[in-house]
Amino acid sequence: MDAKSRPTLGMLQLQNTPIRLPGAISNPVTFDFPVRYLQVPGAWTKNVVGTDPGVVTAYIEAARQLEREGVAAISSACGFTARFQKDVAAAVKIPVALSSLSLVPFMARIIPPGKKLAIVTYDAKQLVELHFNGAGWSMKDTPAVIAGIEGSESWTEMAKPDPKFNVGMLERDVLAATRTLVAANPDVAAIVLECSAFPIVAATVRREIGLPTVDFSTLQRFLMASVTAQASASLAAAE
Amino acid sequence: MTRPTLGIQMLDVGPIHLPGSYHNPTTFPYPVLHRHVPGARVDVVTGGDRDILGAYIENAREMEQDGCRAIATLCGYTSHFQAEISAAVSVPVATSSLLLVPFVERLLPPGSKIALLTFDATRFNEGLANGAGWSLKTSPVIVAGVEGTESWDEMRKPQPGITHAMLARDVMATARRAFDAHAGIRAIVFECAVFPIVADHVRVATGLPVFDYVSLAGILAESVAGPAGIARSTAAE
Repeated sequence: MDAKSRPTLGMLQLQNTPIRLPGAISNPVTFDFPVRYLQVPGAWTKNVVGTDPGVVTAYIEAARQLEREGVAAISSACGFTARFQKDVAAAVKIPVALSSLSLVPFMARIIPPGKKLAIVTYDAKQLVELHFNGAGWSMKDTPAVIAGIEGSESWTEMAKPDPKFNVGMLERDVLAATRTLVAANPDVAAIVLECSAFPIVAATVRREIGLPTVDFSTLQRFLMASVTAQASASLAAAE
Repeated sequence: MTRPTLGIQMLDVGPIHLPGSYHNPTTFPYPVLHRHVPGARVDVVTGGDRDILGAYIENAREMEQDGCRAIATLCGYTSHFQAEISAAVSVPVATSSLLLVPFVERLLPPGSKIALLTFDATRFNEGLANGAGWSLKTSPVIVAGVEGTESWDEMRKPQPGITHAMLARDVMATARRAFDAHAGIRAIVFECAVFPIVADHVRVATGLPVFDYVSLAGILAESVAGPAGIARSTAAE
């Protein structure tokens, strides 16, 4: 099977300069499948985070372009695009998973009944029911608690067109938010990282907090596994 | 000794060693501990007998004590035990790939259907769906089983003599029956934990995304131990 025929993930990025630190979803080395990156015209942190409806059309158009180019599945590089999930999924025929928030119902089921799920996000003040509904669930019937890194140095940088930050800064800010949330909610049993930059520090969170943790790249690996047949099996199937 | 990432609670039947099987060491790229649940025979578990729950709980507690960081349960018909087994241990537990249905539903265009390919559709019921967090009444799921096929006969034996070709034939025939009866099927979920043996065959033959027990185990394992493929892919650069 040659490289060009390998199923490719289409990833809809913001216009902000993509973060390519090790482990970042905008760093192609993070994945063992090819990724076609496309920056969505007019999509910036400031208008995608939150509830501005204007940019959904650009996401739909970009998803259609990626489908025409032949990608096998579509994802995004900002978890707040969960609010576009239904519209983008409706516009193409290939599977679409725009946000790790989509993993919340599953993660809530695999922890002991009565325990809570922690969601750690870029900005807890702006993450609302609209995003949860887009990801297929509601805060009303999901035992989740939320903390964000709003106000931190990482948060300030990520809002800029050209973010300048490093692993140490992000570790400090994400761990601080997570530790505060878990200290206030000792019944938390698992963590979902919303922000597309957080896979960079997911291993640190998993180790330092000691709870099962999934992130944006978990979602994307899972999505691609569903559409990818290993070469050996394709041969077996062709027999 | 390496701490097992995943403990696999197996039915009390002989192993199937084919590639893609839960019993084949190449199927999971992380350390796995296999244990039989005493008395968990195919007919008992797929028949919905709740008396077997105690054996699953005891087995799960042993797995946790032996260091397993997460537990996955066989077979897919144990989803109605999800809350009880999960409540008995402190590590994450996934009883069934049925848990993936609400997630998969969300990935598809509105109006799409999911083919749920199962060991025995006549034994599938609302309780199994509810245990996994969804309902047959509201989710667009078409349930189709391999009951009556040679694969089904083999899987009911104490030592299944199944082959890749046999299973591929029977699972694909079942999938085609679902496609013929229902337009708009855009994804496939395998309930049966033996079907991952033919997951790639079905992906190639149908062109549809396929979610199964191995997909389920992958998320579970990554949640506790990080992505298993990273070192390999980085080394390959």
